[in-house]
Amino acid sequence: MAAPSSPFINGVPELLILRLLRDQEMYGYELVQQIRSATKDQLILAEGVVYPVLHGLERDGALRTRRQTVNGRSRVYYSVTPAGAERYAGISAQWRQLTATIANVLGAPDDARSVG
Amino acid sequence: MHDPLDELTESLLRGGLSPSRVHRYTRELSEHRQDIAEHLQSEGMDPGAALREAQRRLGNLESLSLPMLIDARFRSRAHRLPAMFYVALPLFMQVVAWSACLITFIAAATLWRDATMEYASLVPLLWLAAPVLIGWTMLALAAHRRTRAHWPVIGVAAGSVAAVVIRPTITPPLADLPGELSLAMASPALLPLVVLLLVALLPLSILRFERPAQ
Repeated sequence: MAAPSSPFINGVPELLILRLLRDQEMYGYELVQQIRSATKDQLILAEGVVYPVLHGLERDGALRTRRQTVNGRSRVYYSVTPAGAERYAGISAQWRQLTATIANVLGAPDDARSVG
Repeated sequence: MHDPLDELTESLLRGGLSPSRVHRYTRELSEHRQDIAEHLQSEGMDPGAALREAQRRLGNLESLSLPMLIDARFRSRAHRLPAMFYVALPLFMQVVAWSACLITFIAAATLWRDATMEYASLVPLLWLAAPVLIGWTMLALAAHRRTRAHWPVIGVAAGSVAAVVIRPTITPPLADLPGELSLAMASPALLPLVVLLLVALLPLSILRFERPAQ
């Protein structure tokens, strides 16, 4: 059975995209390869779904784009704006807090969780 | 050959995304698919299988269309405010076109008095041409955006009625007499209104519009 969709998981592509684009500008295909490489192929998603996230972040002012023709192919390169860097800092702090909280719950003894 | 991205384009346009957004999105997806296919071919896969695998990795129609359709930020202004885009904006453009027409006439009457008579006879024609040309443009835009026809048709009707109700009267200046330019409102004459409407709505016979859901 497929795992149910979770709002936590839905935020993952945005977090990864902002993190990877913080280091260097990339176009979509390059970015997906970086995600696969950075997550050691543990995070498999339909590759096309990065584009709605990229377009949404661009619309919010978190990313900027520039178009460049490389070997006859028109590429749209994305990079993080100062607003995007701020957004990344906020989301990653939330994410760290969330994972720490979940780790605490998972690491707690069984009797501590069954109280109440 | 059937391309799933064509189906995606239709689905997104019908969902109210602007054509420029849709074309950029599908172009990026197409480039991405080509990148995957080229990579797979470089690893020895045959072109047909590489393209099928690239399409699978890209995602299906639902996974590619849904994130764009559910996000209201991607909807075009024309989709969100159809009355403004297809009725108010064309009427405003018509007023601007009429104003430009009258200002040009006044300038012509002042600077090139010899041409005034010819231009004075052109003004009523330009007056009626404005709603027709604007109407054709708006109908073409609506078809390109896969919009239903009712808002653009209302816009064309409003422009045509305005053109028949508000009429310019021009008396060109003569040698020692000043000219006169006036605007009058009259109840619309039925025949000119019907003819104007038929001409302005002519693109409906060749353009493809969305039909209301049954």
